Amino acid sequence: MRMQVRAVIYFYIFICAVLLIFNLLYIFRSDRVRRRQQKKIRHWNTYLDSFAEGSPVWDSGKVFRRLQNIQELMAFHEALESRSQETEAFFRENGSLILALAKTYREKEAMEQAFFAYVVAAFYPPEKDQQDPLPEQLLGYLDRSTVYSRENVLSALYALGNIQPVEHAFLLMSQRGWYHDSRLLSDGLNRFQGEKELLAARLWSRRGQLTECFQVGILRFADTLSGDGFAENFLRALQTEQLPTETRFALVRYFRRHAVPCARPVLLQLVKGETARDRELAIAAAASLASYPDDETRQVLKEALRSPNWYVRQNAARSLKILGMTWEETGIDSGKDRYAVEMLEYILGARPAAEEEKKEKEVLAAV
Amino acid sequence: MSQIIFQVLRGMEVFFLLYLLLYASYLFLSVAMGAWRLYRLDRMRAIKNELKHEFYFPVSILVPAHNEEVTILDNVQSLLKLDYQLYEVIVVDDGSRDNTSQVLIDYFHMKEVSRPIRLSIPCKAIKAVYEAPDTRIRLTLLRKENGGKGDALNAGINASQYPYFLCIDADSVLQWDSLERIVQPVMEDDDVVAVGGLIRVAQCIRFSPGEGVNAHRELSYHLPWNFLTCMQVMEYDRSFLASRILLDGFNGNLIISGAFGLFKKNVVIAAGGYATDVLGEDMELVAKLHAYCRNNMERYSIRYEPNAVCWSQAPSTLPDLFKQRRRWHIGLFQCITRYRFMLLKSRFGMVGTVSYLYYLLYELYSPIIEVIGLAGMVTAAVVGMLNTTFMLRFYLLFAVYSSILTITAFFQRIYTQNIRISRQDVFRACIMCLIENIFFRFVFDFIRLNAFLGYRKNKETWGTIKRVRHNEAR
Repeated sequence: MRMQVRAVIYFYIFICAVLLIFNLLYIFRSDRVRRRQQKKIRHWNTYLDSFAEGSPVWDSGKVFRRLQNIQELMAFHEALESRSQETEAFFRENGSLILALAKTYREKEAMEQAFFAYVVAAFYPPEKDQQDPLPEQLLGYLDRSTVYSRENVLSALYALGNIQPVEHAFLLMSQRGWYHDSRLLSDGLNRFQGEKELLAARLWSRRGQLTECFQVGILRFADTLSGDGFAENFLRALQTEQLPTETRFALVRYFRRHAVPCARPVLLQLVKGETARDRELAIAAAASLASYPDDETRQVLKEALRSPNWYVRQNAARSLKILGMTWEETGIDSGKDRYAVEMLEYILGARPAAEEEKKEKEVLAAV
Repeated sequence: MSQIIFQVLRGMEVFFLLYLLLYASYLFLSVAMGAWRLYRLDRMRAIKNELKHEFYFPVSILVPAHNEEVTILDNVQSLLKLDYQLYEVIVVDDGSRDNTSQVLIDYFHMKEVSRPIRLSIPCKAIKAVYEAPDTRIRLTLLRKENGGKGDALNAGINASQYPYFLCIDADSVLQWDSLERIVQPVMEDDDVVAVGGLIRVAQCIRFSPGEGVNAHRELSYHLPWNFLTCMQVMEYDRSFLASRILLDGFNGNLIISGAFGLFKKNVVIAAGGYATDVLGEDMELVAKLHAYCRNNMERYSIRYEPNAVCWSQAPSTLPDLFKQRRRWHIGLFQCITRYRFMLLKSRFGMVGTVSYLYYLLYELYSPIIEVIGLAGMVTAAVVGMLNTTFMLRFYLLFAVYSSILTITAFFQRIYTQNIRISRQDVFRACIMCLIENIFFRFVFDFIRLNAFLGYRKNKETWGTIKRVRHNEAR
C-alpha cells in the first residue's frame, strides 16, 4: 500500500515537472517565437510587394503550401493587415488558391477553420456570383464546429455578400439546435456586403424553420434598416402568428423606431392589457408608444402608470416624458396612487413637494 | 487493548494513505487540466477564436461597501474606465460609519434623487439614492441601513436596471478588459446563469497612470515584499488554476468569489437572492443556484472564465489574514451544512458528489482530519509503531509535490497573461512555494481549526480588515 501510494505520487511529480519545464520553456521561448513570426511576416511582406509589382517571388504552389500551415496563415494575415490596396487584387487573382486552401482547412480542427474563415471575412472581396464554390466550403466547416468557428464562418459569409449561403447557414444551425446570440447575429448581418433588405426579407420568410435566437437576430437587424418596408409583414406576424416570446418582444420593439400608423392601435391594445396572453408585451409596447404622439396615446400611457407591472409603469413614464408631458398634465393625484407618483417624480424630474418647498423659499427670500 | 490500538492505527494508516492519494490525484488532475485549458485559451485568442461584439451585454456592477472610505474612490474610478460600452455602477453603502458615501458624493458631485426601487428581493431600508450627473457611465449610490454584504447586494440587485449584474468588492480593481471577458461565456451559451472570474493579488501590480480609456491598461508585475501577501499570491494562483477549472469542466463549481462574479439577475431573484444570515454569501448563492435550477429542472450552466481578472487586496498582517480565513471557513461550514441535502443525490449529479465531497473532506474537515492524523502519529510513536523515516520521507515527498504543483500554476499564469517578471521574482516564487507547502499550511490549518472551535462566538462576526489605497498597497 505504502509503496503504491509513493509510486503514484512519484508519477504525478514526474508529470508536473514536465508541465513545469514546458511552462518555463514556453516563457523563455516566447521571444524567439515572436522573432520567428516577425521574420515570417517580413517574408510575406516581400512577397506581397513583389505581387503588387507584377512579379511575385513565389509561385502559387509555394504560396499554397505555406498557407496550409496555421503559423504562416497568421503571418500572412498580419502582413495583409498593414495593407489596403493589394489585398483585393491578391484575393481576386488567387480565387482558385483560396478555394483549394478552404478545402484543405476543411480537414483541420475547428480552431484553425475558424481562423481561415476569419481571414476570408477580413480580406476577401464581396462575391455576388451565386455559383462561387467558396461559401459551400465554408458551410462545410459548420459540420464539426465550435461557437467561435460558427461566428467566423458567418462573418465570412456576410463578407462575401451572397444571400443564399447565409440563409443556408441559419437553417443548418437552427436544425441542429445550436444557440447563437441574437446580438451577434444582428451585428453580423449589418456587415453583409450585399442587398440588406433582400437578405432580411428572405431570412424572415424562413422564420418558421428558424429558432428563437435567429428570429430575434433578424428582427434586430431589420430594425436597423432604414425605411418601414417590413412593418406590414411584421404587424401581421405579431397579430396572427404563434411566435416565441422573445420574437414577439422584438416585433413590438421594431415599431418604436419604425412608427407606422397601423401599428398604433395594436400597441395601445397591448398596453391596455386587453389580450391576456400578451400581458408581458405591454412592457415593450409602453416604450414603443413614445413614437406615436397623440392624445389617445398619452391617455393610455397615463392609465398605464397605474399598471400592476413595475416595468410597464416605468416605460409609460419614460414615454410620457419623451412625448413632452409635464407633471401637471398627467393629472396624477398624489394621494391616490403612490407608485405612479414616485415613478413620475423620478422620470419627469419634477417633484411637486420639492417645487412647493422651493417656491416657499423664494417667497421667504423675496420678503 | 494493545490489539485494538494496533488495529485502529492500521485502519488510520490506510485511511490517511487513501486520503492523501485522492487529494494528490485531485490536485494533479486539476493542475494538468487547468494548464491544458489555459494553453488552449491562449492559443484560441491568438488565432481569433473569440466573440467580439461592439454592444455586448448591458451589465450592472454592484459594489457593496462598508467602511471603505480608503479604497472606494480608486475602485469606482477604475470601474468607470472599463473598456465596455454599456454598463452602470451601483455602490451600496451598507451603513458605513466612516465617510464612504461622502467621498463619492463630493468627488462626483452626486445629487440625491427620488428614484423608485422595485423590491424584488427583501433588503434593509434604503435611506437615500444619489446619482452622478456628469459621468459617462451611470453611477448610483445607495445609502442603506446596515444589513451585511448579502443584504447590500440584494439592495443593489433591486436598484439595477440591466439583466446581468456583476458583484465586486470595494477593495478590488478590475482589469480594463475584464468585463468584456467575463461576458464571453454568456454570449456563447444562453443557459449560463453565473460566471466567476479570476482573483489575483492586487499588491503585485502597479497600473500606469494613463489618461482616459488608456488608464489602468498597462501594468507592471512584481511579487510583493510582504511575506504574507507573497504567500497568498502562490496560494491564489494554485487554487484558481487548479480547482476552479477542473470543476468547471463538469459544471461543478460551488464557489464564485464574492470579489468578482457575474450573474443572471432574473434567475438570482427567482432563487431568492443572497442569503443575509451567513458569512459566505458568495458560496451560498452558487449552491442555491445549483439547487434551484436542478430542483426546477432548468437547463443551466455556471462557468469560470480564467481570462477575466480582478485584482483584489490580500490581507498583509497575520491578524487580518486570520480574520479573513476564519470568516471564509465559517461561511464554508454554514453553506455545506445548509446544502447537505445535495450530498450523493443523483439529481445533483457531479455537484452533489465530486464538488460537495471535495469541499466537505478537503476544505471543511481537513483541519480536523489533520489533527486526528497528528494524534494518531503521537499514539503510534508511543506504542512503537511509528516508522519515522517513512513518515519524514513521505511528508517531504508530499511537500515537494505540492510545491511543484504550485510553481507550475504560478508560471502557467505568468505566460498565459503575457506578464514579464524579473529573475529575482522567479527565485522568490520558488522559495515561497516551498515555504508555503512545508510550513504555512499549518498556519492555515490552525486558523481553520480555530474557526471551528469558535464557531458559536464568531458565526455572525465579519471582522474588519485594514485597507490601504491601491498605489500604496505594495
